[in-house]
Amino acid sequence: MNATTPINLADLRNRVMDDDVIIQHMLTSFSGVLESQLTAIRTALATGESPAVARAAHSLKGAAANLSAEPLRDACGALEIAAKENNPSAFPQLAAAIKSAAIDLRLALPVCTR
Amino acid sequence: MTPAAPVSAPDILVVDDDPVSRDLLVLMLQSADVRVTTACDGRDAVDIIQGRREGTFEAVFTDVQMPRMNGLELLDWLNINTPTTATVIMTASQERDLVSASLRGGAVEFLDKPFDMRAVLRAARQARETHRRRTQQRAAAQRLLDIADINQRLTRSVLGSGGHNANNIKLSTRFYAIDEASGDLIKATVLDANRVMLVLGDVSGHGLKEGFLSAYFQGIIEGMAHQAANCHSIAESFNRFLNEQWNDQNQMSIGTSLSACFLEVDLAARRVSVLNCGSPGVMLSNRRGAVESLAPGGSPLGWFLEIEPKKVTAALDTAGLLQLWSDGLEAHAERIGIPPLALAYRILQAPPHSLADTLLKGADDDIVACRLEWCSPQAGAPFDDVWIPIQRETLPGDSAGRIDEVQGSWSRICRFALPQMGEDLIHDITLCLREALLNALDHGCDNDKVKHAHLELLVDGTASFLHARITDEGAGFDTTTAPSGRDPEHISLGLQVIRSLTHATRHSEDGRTIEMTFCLTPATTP
Repeated sequence: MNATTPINLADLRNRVMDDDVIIQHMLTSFSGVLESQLTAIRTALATGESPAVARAAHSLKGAAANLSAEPLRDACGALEIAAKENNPSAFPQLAAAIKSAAIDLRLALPVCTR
Repeated sequence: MTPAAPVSAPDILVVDDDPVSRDLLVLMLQSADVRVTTACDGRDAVDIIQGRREGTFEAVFTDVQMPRMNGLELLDWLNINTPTTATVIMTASQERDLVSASLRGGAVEFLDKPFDMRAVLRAARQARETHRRRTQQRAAAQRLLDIADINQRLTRSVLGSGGHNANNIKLSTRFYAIDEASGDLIKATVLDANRVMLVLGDVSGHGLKEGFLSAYFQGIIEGMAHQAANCHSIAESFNRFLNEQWNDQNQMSIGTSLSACFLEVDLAARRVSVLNCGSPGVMLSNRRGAVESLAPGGSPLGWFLEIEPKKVTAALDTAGLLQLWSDGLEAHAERIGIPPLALAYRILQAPPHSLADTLLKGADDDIVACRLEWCSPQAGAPFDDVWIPIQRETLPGDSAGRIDEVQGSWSRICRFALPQMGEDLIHDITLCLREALLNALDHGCDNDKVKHAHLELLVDGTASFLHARITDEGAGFDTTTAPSGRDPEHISLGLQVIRSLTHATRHSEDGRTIEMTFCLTPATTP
């Protein structure tokens, strides 16, 4: 497993003590909220309000961290920091990184759930 | 999915606005048979808690950043409204310091995000333990408040029976139970206008059975006392009951013993009769705090077919006090390295609800302490003028070489019994005691181990003055010539130090006793 893998399954398995029921539930649950969380970030970015961007990025960061979706977690974390530092010029590039990580993750989810 | 939790499972409320985190935590907790309820933010949590009966949730696991009401605001609300509920703050480890700094009170556990199942289950166990401990402490505090109320009623009862001015007698008790049931007891019964019976008892054990036995014993005391039975008859009656229980083959029988100390105080005749069956006994002090230990020992009730008590009758001063306590107090005093007199003083001075978390933390037995004070304002002996002992010790005449070791205990006792005392004053007191004691050992006892020096530390009724009294068994000296005689040049350096550091110094008993008074509140004059 390398650092760019959308989900660090080994870490996830370790944290939930190899409970397949929990893993399955988490993957399904995350699939269900990923789009709405991304929409929340897009909406916040459209308003240009840094606090709203920070809140939305923070929320998806937490969900991704729980799933051991490290690239998405890191991308959201970077956007949250930029928003808290009120640095909107960095938003487009960081939002693109989130989008890329989310696409990779979305592709990986069906594999993981098998 | 794990099966439904049993009815006795703990209840935990999970508060998080992120549904993924929330669901994950629910699954992890349910795997340990925890019943879980969820809320999407602090406000939602408050609504849910208010909709349930008090104490439903053992713990609340809450996120920090949430809309409407965040985790720290929720923590504040919980501390005020459901103080027994344990709170677990869920936060990313890198945010923990920031969150810790924001906390305004209330002990909490932290749970790192993202969740590790082992840490979650550990936090749940710790939270359950915290809840259990807080519930016990709250119940203990309530019992202490109940006891305080009982004290007031007893005192009113004693005073209302006639014969005594309401200002002439004072009863103080403190009760600390280490578990939910206790066999310790303190019972005051008015016998007539002038006589009060006090009984301090300690049933061996800490279970419901012991609690039942304690209540049963108190009922027997009450009933027999009102039929004019004396302490001896009551002790015999209960001893017989306990022996019958030992020999009863019924599984429900009560096979245990009870140590009990009975006092019959006659305030008109100024006399106390003590009958002790296995308790530490009674400390009788006169107006100036001179202590007499009355009737320690005897055999607990239930040990033998015939009771084997220690019995004594003693005269009471115009003002003074009687103190008695359970062996739990003596054990705790030894554990923390403080004399029982000092521990009893501090406990009886402290507000009841302050005991469990501070003075009695770590006690491994129930603790009961009781003090009955009387005074005679009309005879010029008001309560404030009664000195309360906090330490008394006797040293062989050849102890001068141990003075450094001995003096360490004085400062420790002062700090414990009188926490308001400053370090400068403690230093002055220690220096004066050292000088006076060395003088008593050297000149009074001639450093002869057959003779002894006695040291007493006493506090006046308003806690404004500390009195230290040192007496030796020497021949004394002519007080008209030395050391407080007419020629100042003959006054020793040690005595000059003492006089310069004390509020007052007095010699008595032909110079064998020196009393030093220290002012605890600088603005006060005696």
